[in-house]
Amino acid sequence: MTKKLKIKLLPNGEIQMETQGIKGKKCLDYIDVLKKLVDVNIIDTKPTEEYYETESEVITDNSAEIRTDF
Amino acid sequence: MSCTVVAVPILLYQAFIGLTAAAGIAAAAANAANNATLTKQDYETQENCQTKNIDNICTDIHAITVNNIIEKEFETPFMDKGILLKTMEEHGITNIEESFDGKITGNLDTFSFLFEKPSESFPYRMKITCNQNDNAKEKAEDINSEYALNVQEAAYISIIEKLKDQNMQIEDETVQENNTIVLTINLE
Repeated sequence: MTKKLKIKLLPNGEIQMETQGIKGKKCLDYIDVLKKLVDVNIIDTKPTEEYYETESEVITDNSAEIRTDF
Repeated sequence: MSCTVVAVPILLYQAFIGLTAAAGIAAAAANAANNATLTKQDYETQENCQTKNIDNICTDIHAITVNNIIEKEFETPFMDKGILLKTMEEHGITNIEESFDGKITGNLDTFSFLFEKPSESFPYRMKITCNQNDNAKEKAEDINSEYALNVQEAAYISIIEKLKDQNMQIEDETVQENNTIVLTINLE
């Protein structure tokens, strides 16, 4: 899945950010990205299913491509 | 999605978020219930006060009034003077002035406004003086909503400019029916 940031600017001034295609705790790194884009105070973070997943690995040998998903 | 982050721009006082605009202002109005309806008695008191010896300072005198004028105070989430002044102008408030101590005043029809910030860490308080028949609460809610929209606009401009600086691409930009702006940024 393509890695994306979805930033929602609500009319009451609140900002919500969702990461997509970013597995594990790496999504939390994007909090710093948000802080660089706009001066904010973070008031809540909610992990989703992807938070508990790991990145898939691709292993190749001479003859075949083996994909391992954990 | 992998995680959701909820944030509040520093232009808004963060303890205020979570209340609806109406609820927040209603709570503050309840706290301000001790603001008495100003009466002719108060006027006379003010007048007597002014004729006293100059060394006797009058205290605890509310704004001068005659019958049918009320003064109500509201808490707001307004942290930024620039956004507040912009909001006041866009709302049609005129005679906007800032005093040496940072108080901001203005007028609109029968409404008079005073905004005062207790300290840098806390938001402005809004005092509205108007006729008894005017709806001060509704006026306060209108200004609150408009300030929030200006915060949304400021956040949008900041994000767009900073994305350009970092060569990050906006894949999609939509405005939902409830005026939420949704920016989708491709990270690859």
